[in-house]
Amino acid sequence: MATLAVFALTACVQTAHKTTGELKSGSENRRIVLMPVDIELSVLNAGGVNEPRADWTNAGREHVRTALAAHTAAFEAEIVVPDNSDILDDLDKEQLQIVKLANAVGSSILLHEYLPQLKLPTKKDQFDWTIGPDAKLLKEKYDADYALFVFLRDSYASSGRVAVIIIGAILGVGVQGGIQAGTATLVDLDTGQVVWFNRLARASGDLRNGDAATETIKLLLTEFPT
Amino acid sequence: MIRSRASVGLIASALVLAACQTAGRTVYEAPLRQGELLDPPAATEQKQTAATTQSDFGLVDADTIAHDGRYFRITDLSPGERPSPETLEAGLWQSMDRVEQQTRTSGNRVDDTELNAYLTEVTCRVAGEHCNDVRVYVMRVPAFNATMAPNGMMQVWTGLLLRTRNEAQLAGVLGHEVGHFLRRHSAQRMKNVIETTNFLAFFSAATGGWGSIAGLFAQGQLLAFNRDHEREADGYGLLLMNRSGYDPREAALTWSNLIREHDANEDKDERDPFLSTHPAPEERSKILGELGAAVASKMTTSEKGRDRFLEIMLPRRAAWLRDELNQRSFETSNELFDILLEDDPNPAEILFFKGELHRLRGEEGDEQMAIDFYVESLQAAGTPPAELHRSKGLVHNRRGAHTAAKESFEAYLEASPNASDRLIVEDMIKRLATS
Amino acid sequence: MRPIRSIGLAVTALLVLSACQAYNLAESGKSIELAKSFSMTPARDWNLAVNGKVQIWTIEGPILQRMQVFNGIEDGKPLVEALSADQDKKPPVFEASMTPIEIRDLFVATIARVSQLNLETGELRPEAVADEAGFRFEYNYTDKNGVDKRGFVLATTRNDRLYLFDYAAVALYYYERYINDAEQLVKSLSASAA
Repeated sequence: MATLAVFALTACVQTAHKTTGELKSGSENRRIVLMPVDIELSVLNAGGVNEPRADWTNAGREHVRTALAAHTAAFEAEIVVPDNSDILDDLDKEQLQIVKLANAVGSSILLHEYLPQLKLPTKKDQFDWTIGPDAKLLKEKYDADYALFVFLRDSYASSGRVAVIIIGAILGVGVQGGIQAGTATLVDLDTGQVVWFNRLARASGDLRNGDAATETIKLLLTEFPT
Repeated sequence: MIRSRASVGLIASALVLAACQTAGRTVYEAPLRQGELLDPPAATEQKQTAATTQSDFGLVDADTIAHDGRYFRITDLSPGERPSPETLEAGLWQSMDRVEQQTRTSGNRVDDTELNAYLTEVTCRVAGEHCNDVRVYVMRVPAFNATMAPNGMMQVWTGLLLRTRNEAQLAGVLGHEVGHFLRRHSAQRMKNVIETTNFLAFFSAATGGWGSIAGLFAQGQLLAFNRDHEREADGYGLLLMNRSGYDPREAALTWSNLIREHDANEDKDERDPFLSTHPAPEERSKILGELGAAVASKMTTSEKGRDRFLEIMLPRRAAWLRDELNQRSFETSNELFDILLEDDPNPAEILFFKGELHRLRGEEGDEQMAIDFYVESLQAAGTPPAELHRSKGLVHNRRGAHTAAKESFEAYLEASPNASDRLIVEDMIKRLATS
Repeated sequence: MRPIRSIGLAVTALLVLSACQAYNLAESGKSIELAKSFSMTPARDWNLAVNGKVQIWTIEGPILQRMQVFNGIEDGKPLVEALSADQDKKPPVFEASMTPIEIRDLFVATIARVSQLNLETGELRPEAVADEAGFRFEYNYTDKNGVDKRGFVLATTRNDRLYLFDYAAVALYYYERYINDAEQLVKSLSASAA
């Protein structure tokens, strides 16, 4: 909820934050574990109520995975999707705390890097965020060099909502249509450093559809290290 | 979406009233007429679909109900059933699955194996063949409430465990929540909200903002819808109490106690959101009392399960009583403590918290009242918490009774030598000795 | 008893709002006055936001770690002014005559009311604050998102006002990472002439 409120406040400029333009080249094939994607697709009804759609969400999740794998394959990085990837239940207490810390760091980045009024003066223009050296526990669990955390919300105006938007436009009242919003965080599992972060907030896009999802992922992964 | 409530139209009021009055007793009774009442109770063997006519509950006969489908069967959701993915309901389930993930690790969750096992056991007894569909989480929140999500995630708040007095009362609440689940009330409500707000959006867009009358109507309709769900769930509570062998007369007692608490609060807020979405506690108490007695008359044996219940709750209660006082709703807390004292096996503990209430309130005469309750607690049956002497010392200290304060603090340290505030208390004793 | 609804909504709104105070640089070596009773001198740069009588000092943002300073709460007032707005329930209030035990309980009750969080507190012991008699305790809790947090409170009463320093951070990594900076901040406290 808080996150979505922040999305509404952030301007729609597409700039990723990063500490590096390149992935480490230690191993032959760089492995990026895709942490459980937090995704929900919904219909925006005429009255403004968001109705989550399970079938679209399931399809969207698959499209995102496929698009991510295709995108990173281009620079010889492999997306690893753990078994049981929809649930965090197979993580132990400490591993789960690391995932939760990563989410807290993601929220902090969104607040303090994207909202001008919440800029932290001590950070100057340095992009410097970390989940700490315990990130190694995820490295061991997934045998991966990086972890990628993805959050996505996508809503579509129902035909009724579109009608309300049109009536509103005639009367000169702005009515919100569907939105697509998301964040992606890439963490170096040796150091815990967030090496790249981006967010997406726009009134277009369609994760229900494979090709359109590829476009969304391409946009979300702007300036992703290669 | 429903923003403007400012201008109240007469037409709208009339519509709202009409909406409220469509419900009533029949909704409570429906589950009882649909489900077959069992005697003797058979907790494990759950029968489905019961078309047996129970004329005692009949305002409408069983056939009519079966035909028009307005009233409901316990088999609405079959055991293990998940809604199919393209439905509105599946979307809700999926969303709630994510919330449940969050709930599992939330800081408010009471991570107490024995307590959770007990609640799961009672839930299963009540839910019968739906045992595996419902998961119960105890949340440390100092208010009387339980919630049911469409996917079967049930939350029970500690404020409720503090107030229920036996297993039958708890079973009544759990049965009520299971009723919400079986009848898919969340999905019904979501559908209703979407339809009503859709209507409203067109109405206000088309009238250029003159939507307030429509808004009021819509809101009244939504609330009435809510209240009907609560009534129906209350009916399920009784039905499931019967099926699992609990004394159905206990259900009404929960409500009469809550009414006492509510009435004790002089500055109560009549706009309490709980009351606007739920039938009045007076109505629930009355109808549940009548129906509970009728159901009970069909049972030759039934159980209250008081000892089992208190055995689990009493050792855990002190923290919940402390949470209750942290609300600073002193009038209602005082009434609650009086209700508990009427039949409590550990009155010393309750009397201590009555003392705490007066110590924390700090109005005229409260200091003496606090001391009196501490003294009474020491003489009463049961065991007061170890910090009683410390609290007594704090009150004496506040009154400038230095010797008495010092003695109480010393008694505290003697009673709990490993207290986490030992160093501070020793420090205070030292200061009192020199003052 | 109602189907699930978002009880965290009001809290979340509050968080978003309170997070919206602008941060200024609190420069290393520069003293900051606290309600004319104390001054504090950081030995490193911090970000500082002020919201009424509460200061938020942070390096990584308040979600990860922060020092919350309750800066001279007056006799009869709640720690968080917003609590006075609740018409149904009286807020827990500070009284100048309170002992450390009562102030600790006040802090715990306030957090329970504001954030619906249950703090587990550790040893309560005397500790001077800039030569004034004061006290300290540690605490921990798990937040709504399931993140384990750790903190300590150091407090004193001066001229009938409460000065309470509350450092809290994510237990994993962040607490240890900045604990020395937090300790430095409270050790730098010095009493201003009364």
